[in-house]
Amino acid sequence: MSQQPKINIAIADDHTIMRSGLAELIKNLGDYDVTIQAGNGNELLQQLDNADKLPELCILDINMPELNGYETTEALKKSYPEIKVMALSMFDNEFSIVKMLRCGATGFLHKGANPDELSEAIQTVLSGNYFHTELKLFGALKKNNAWQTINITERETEFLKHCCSDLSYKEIASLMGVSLHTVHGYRDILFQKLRLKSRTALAIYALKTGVVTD
Amino acid sequence: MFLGSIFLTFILLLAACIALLLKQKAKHNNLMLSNNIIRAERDLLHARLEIQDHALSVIYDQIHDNIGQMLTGIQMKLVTLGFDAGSKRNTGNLSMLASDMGRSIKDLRNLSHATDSLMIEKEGLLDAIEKEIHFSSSIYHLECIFTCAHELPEMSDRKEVLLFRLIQEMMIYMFSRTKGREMIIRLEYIDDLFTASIAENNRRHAVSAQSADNNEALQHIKEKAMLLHGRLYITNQTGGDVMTFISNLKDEPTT
Repeated sequence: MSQQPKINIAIADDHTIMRSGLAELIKNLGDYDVTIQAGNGNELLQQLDNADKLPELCILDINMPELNGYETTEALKKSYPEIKVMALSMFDNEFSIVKMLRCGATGFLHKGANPDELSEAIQTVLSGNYFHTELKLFGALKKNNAWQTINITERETEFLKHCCSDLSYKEIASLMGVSLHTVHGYRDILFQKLRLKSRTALAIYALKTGVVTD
Repeated sequence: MFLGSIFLTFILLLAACIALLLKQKAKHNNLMLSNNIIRAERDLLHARLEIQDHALSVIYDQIHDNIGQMLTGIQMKLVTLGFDAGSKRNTGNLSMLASDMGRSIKDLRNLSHATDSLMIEKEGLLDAIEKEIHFSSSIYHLECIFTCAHELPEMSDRKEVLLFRLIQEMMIYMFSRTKGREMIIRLEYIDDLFTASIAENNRRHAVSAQSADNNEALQHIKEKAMLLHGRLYITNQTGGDVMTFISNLKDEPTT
């Protein structure tokens, strides 16, 4: 009986202990093989150029020297568009995560996530979907087709587009010509309508439904 | 004799004028000195705040670059060891350790939010306060209710960060000392007056508030209140304390 080939994964993170720990954890999940480990984006791209077989997924730290997560993701999307990208970060800085998503990443995971969450994240991203812990709720909404009946106003849509940038809410308010209080109102209404809790989740919703394109 | 008395009167008048002038000058000099002292005190406070901010920024970098990464790497090793532990008991123990480590990493992450001033500027005052309340209430095991009844005035980034730090320290002071289980954090902006209050056990302000001037433990909070041109009050009641900061927030923090 032939065994199903393992899925190849690449990791780029400038913290050696973190990188090797993650590689070992991923190998222990069973279905995956970490074929490339790099200390920064430049190293990753060099190793990809010389690789016999390309990985299907790259897991990237956001803050790296020489070539950071954003630049690496953009380079990967240009040279290796078939490779999926997942962002990994110590902090859940919404602005960084949204920026990674706009660069082309389709998933985000905290460093320190448990093995189940890691496994779910990898599977979701490999299947072509977006992954963020909060989106489990959105997934349930989509299953029932309920998301199609959600009514979002023009102004809320405009706000949603701005959410997919690294502008602060103050800057968005200035752009839209409204007060910060009003912008918070748009945000809270969208959170309620879409049953979401964070700006990252709003950005993923916008990208997933085509309100914003890459 | 008549001329003599006139001359004497003139001398006395002159002496009185000179005395008055000297008194005015002394008063003016004292005022200048007081103003210089106040200005120097504020410069010193401002310098201390910058040092504090720099220290917090270093802490943020250390959490990100060293502590957090190391703990996360160790957590992953524990999980991996759990896969090869041999016995169900060992697997369970290692899994529990990894889980506890994960919780600490999460707390560290939440703690770091409040150390980075740039992030506070980016997030905005209200969102930063909400995050801080969420974190502090979990640390101190308190139920917290946060309300901001009115639209706050537009503030510079610097003022927002300073106001955040003030409210953060008010929360730490009150949360660490409360005997109650519930805290009310309220922000109001009425008739150009900003009020931030933290109350135990759902108690409102007392009508007669006493100034916090004499409490040494509140030194840092008082200093920030001063830089924001405001005053700090604590009312002590049976069953609940209320700490209140009031300012018109019109002027920029003193440099």
